[in-house]
Amino acid sequence: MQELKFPIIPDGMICDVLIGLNGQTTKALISTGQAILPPVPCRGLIDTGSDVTCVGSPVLRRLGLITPIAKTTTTTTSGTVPVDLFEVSLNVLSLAASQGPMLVFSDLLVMELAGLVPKLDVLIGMDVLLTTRLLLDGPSKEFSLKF
Amino acid sequence: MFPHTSQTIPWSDLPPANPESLLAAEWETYRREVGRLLAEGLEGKFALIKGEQIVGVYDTWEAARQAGLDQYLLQPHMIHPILSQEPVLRGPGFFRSCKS
Repeated sequence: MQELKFPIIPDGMICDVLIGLNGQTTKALISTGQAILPPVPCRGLIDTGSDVTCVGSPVLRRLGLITPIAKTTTTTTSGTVPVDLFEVSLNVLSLAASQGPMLVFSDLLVMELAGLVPKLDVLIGMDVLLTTRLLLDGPSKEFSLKF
Repeated sequence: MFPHTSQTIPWSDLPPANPESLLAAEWETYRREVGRLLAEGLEGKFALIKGEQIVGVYDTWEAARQAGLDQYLLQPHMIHPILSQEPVLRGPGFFRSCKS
C-alpha cells in the first residue's frame, strides 16, 4: 500500500494536486492532431463535506475546458438546481518530491467552483477520499492518504 | 464514474436548466425524454445528447463518452446516465454560509 503524507498547516489539510485533461479527451485530441495543454499544479484542500471534488474555474479554463460534459443536481439556498460537471484527470502527489507515490484518477467528474479562496484551487471531495485510507494525526499535525 | 449520493430526487422533479448554461438545451432534452427512456427499460444505460436530440444510448459511460468525442470532440454535448432517481450532490462544505 502506498502512502502520501502532508503537514496540517493553518490553511487546513492541504495537499498537492495536478489537474489535467482526462484520458479519453487527451487521446481524442492527439488523434486529431490538436495540442494538449499540460496539467496544472494546484493546491487542494481535503473537504469531507463535499460529495464530489471541485475545481476552480481558472484551472479549468487553463486546460481549455469551457464546456461541461454532464449535469446533475445540487442543493443551494434557492433549492435544488442543476450543476455542471467537467471531466478531468486528477493526481494527488507531493510536488516537493521528485519521485514518490501518486494517487491517480485518469477520468474524474468534478464540479466547477467559481469562487474559491486565494491560494486554493481544488476541494478534494468524498469521491476521491473514499478510495483511500485517510488518517488525521492531530497531535503530530499531519495527515496521510493510503491507497 | 457518475456520482452516487445518498440524497436523490425522482426524475419527475428534475429542476429546469439555467437558460445561460452551456448544456441548457441538452438538459431540457433529458428532462423531456427521461420518462420515455425509463419506460423503455433503459435505466442504468447512458444517453448521448446533442441539443434537442438523443443521439444514442450506450451500456457504459466510456462508450457514450467515446461516441461523443468521435462525433463532437470539444463541441457541447452531454452524457447522462438514465436514472429514475437523480443524485443531489452535497456542495463544498467549506463555503456553506453559517448563521451569525
